[in-house]
Amino acid sequence: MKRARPLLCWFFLLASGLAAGAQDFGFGFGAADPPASSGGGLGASVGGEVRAAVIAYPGDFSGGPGKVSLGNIFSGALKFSAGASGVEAVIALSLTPVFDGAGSPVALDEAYLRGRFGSFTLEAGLLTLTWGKADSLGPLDVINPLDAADLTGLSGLDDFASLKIPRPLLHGTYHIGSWTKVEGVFVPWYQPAPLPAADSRWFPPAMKVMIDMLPSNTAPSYPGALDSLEYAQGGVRFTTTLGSADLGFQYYYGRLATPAAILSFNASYTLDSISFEYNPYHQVGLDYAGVIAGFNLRVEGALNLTADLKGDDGQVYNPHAAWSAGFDRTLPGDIMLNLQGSGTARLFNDKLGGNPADIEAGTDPTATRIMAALSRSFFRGELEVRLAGIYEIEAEDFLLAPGLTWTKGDISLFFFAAFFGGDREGQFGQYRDNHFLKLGLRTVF
Amino acid sequence: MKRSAFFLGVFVLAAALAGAQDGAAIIAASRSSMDAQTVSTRSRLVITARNGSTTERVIDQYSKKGPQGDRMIIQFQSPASVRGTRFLTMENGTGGTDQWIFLPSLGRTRRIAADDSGGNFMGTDMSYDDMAAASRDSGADTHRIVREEVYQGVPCYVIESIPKDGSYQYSKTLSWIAKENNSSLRIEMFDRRGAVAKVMESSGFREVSGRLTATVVRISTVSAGTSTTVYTDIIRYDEPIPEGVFTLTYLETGVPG
Repeated sequence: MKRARPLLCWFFLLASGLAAGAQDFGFGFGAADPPASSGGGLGASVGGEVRAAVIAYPGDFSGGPGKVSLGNIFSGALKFSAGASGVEAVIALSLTPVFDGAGSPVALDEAYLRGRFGSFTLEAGLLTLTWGKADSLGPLDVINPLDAADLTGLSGLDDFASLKIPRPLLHGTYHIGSWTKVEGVFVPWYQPAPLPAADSRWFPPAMKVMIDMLPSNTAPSYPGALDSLEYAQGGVRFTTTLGSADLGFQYYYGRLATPAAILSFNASYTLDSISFEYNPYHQVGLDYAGVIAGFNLRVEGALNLTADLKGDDGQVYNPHAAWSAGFDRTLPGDIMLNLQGSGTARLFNDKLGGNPADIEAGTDPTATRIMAALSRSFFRGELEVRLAGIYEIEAEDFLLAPGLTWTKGDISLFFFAAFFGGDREGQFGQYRDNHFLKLGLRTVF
Repeated sequence: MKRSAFFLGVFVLAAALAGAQDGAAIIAASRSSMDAQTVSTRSRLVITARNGSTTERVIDQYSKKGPQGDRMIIQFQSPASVRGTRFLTMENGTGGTDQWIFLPSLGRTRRIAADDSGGNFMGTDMSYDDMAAASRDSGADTHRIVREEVYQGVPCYVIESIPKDGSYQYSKTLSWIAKENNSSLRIEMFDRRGAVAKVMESSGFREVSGRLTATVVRISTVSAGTSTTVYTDIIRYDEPIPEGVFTLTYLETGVPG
């Protein structure tokens, strides 16, 4: 809690300072539960979530009770917001218990300030944004990386947004009329998604094999000064509605989320060192959403241009095209189907053949992923049963995730399971020993 | 005396003419009596399960007539799990409707299909058709007076309405319309097999901006033994609503664009 106190003080000081600018929109009934006022017309409110869940890995049970851990049981979140017309400040904290005095029980999730100046809105701070129209894992949603260091953070395959890692950024939005807007974002530094701890069951086995090959006194090297302007990123996005179609266009300059692992060998052809680089790239992308014959369609396409414009630089990823297309539709029996395909296609793939040391040598030129979810609600939405799955075509691996949620008022009982399978070199197949079950209670306030 | 007899005759004639009104005119008069350029409401929805347990939701609804048809936005105030969810529906002038929903947990807006008008709205007993029933074009159905009776002490016309569009959710409806003021007191909605599927009962009438308004509406699903009671805590007619409310900007930010 020690970290939380100065944050809260900062927040309320900030809130007090904002009070002078408070105005009223003069429209609507306002909140049903009016926020407590801190004076000067500024309203402050607190919300959050309390979650109690146990996580079990069926594979551990064969080792006896000494091998079974049910996890932290408790986790929570607190969100403080203060604002009035034209200005809003938010601080969101996540809470997890700490054992053995390691780490902090409080972590900063989001902290930002939002100001509205007529048609222009400016946000600054630590926050998450969503770009693109895909339901999840779309190629245009490039700003916040996903925290895949522990997949038990998922409560369903429609929950990838909860894995997003907030990033420090400036985000401006200019509204042109009622249906068109232009956004700009500037991310002053780069922070890759965290790797799981080396002794974690979620540490990628392929990476472990590589590191084990290193001489005993050598560690992988990572790029330094990621907080320098050299690693700054930014982009612009234009969205509009034309008739019954929602359209978007964006340009983004950033760093690929997947690091390029550059291996060097000594004279005796044994591995000497591994260094990781995050390749810069330019992205140009388009997206579309519309309803055709009752199908809610969403399509994204992007061209990701790295510095390897000829495809012959073995230490840089080749440029590639990325896509996503999907829909949802209510089937007979009130069953909801959500189906989405996504993938990438490497450009200049023929240039890899001449360089066996290319970081992409021996890998498939395309990667295609199919995600499907069937869900149905019972008892007028109180109980939702869901079966979702992801299959990677080239990698031939999969993740199957059944779940159910019973919601009564503000409290939910949920069950979620994840079963990994297929080729052990695939993104999901590598976790074939990590099937897990999750059962918990959750309430928001 | 002659003069009194004359006025009495006029009243009798007027009453006779009123009784002779056809069903379509009564339904049209009933719906037009609630007509407004804008309607703003805050309502509590108490959803009652078969076993009597209840859950509650609070929603705000803002609707406004536009050059291409009606526009409506609904925003959820409680419970906390759905607070901030907003739903925008707009008639697009071509006979179709565009709909979007903003889910705060996803942080973005999704366009959704509008063809599921028979489905239940957010776990209540109301379908999207039911919510639009009050403003349904009276010309969309064929109406006839089937009888006159006293309902809860109020003399009423009982009017049968059969939709001209065979794909409509219901095969017919029976409406109890107060003779005195054209208020709709009860509606029975029949499924395609001719059985009563739902019953809508209105009460708590009070005059708001010259309109006799039901502030309590209970919709029961007969076969399921469930019901939803809508308590309208705030209602305002013809209060200005900015055009910027019916935009994606408002959907995403809660601030008129």
